Amino acid sequence: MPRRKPGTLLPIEVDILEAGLSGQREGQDEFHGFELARSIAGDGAGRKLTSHGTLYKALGRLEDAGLLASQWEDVELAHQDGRPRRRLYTVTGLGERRLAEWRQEHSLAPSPRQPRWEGSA
Amino acid sequence: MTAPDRAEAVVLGWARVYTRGVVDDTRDRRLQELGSDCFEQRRWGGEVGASPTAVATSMVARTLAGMPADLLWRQAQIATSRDRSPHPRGRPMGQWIKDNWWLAIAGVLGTMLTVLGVGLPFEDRTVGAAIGGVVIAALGIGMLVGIGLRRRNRRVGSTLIAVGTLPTFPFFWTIFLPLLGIAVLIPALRDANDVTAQGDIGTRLPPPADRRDTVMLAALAVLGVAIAASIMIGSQTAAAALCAPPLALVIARAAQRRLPMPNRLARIGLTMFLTGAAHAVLLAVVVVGADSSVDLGEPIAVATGAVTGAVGVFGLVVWVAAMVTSRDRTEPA
Repeated sequence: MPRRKPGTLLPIEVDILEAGLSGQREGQDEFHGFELARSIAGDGAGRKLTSHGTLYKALGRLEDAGLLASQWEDVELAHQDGRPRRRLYTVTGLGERRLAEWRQEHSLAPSPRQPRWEGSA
Repeated sequence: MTAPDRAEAVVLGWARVYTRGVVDDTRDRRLQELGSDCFEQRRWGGEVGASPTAVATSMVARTLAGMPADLLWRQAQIATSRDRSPHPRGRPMGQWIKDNWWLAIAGVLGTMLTVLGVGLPFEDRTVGAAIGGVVIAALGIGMLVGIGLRRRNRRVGSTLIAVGTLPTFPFFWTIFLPLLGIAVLIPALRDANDVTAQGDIGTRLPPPADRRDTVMLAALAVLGVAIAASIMIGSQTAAAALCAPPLALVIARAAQRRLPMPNRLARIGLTMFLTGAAHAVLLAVVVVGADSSVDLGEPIAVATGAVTGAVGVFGLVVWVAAMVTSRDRTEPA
């Protein structure tokens, strides 16, 4: 596998950061894995849900790089809702800056594939 | 059990497989995240009116598509968790090959010796050929085991590989066999020497205060057993043959302890060489001093003489190689 330049972002990472920031702009500060996969897929008509391996590996990579932060949801909250607790992610300031730099480098407005955020279920 | 239930079992079953051996926290996190993901997808499928089969198919498809990434993730996690991994994450393949090319030769050599050892008794149906075959095959197998063992215990693995080259040297007329032996012996010794100096996973160095001369103690114990056996056998030749090697080792060990050595391998090599040399001198003394009834052609004398002779030659090679490869490396205090 070719080694990429430090600081560059892969398409899946761009998608994740854009989806996260899109949600934050709409007042949703935190997002979880499946929510992200659904957001990246848009309406689901043209694109399939991101695979588990790709999604969670990319999330871990972004967190390691400091572009995302994460924490476990409160157990009580999950219990009340009758579901497993979620790992909640937020885009950090560094993540926001890195995405802006990436866009500048690629002379792009927000990606044409920009995910459409839907409210959390 | 519904289709989504089965799909979830596939997702989590695969996750349990590829997270096996990963640090507990990381493994638990991945399993919990996937458990949550499956739950959310199933609930979402219900909300948008997707059929259970469609949801299950999507879940399994996401798992299948993510398998390569899962395996790469696992590889990275395992490498990260090994703080002192000999193959750190991100190490270029070229560098790995440069450092480990000799293992490929060791693999070929180990296989050749094993085949040779097994085949020797069939070729020459004598007791000597049988014993030689067993020894050669055992060292060949030891070399192959050493290659496998290196990942867990580099020092023992590399030492086994180095010792496994021993049978190649008597075949000096073939030229290529001893050359292959030397090509493996020197990097194996260097590798074992590096680990001795730096420490490695699975390698435990005793604290200096606890280091006793176990070689000397073992040699004295063997010498005691040999003396007892010689008395029981009642043969002068057998006594010379049995007692000379451990006595030679005791003498050699006592002599080399006074010589400063740059590292442990050099000390081991010198001990082996001095043992072989001392044994030769002792046998010569026995021959000169004994009466005509002493028959050095007796199997025990020939066998021990051959073994310690080979040990002496091998020790000389080890000593020289260790001295050459030691360079700036010095044994930790």
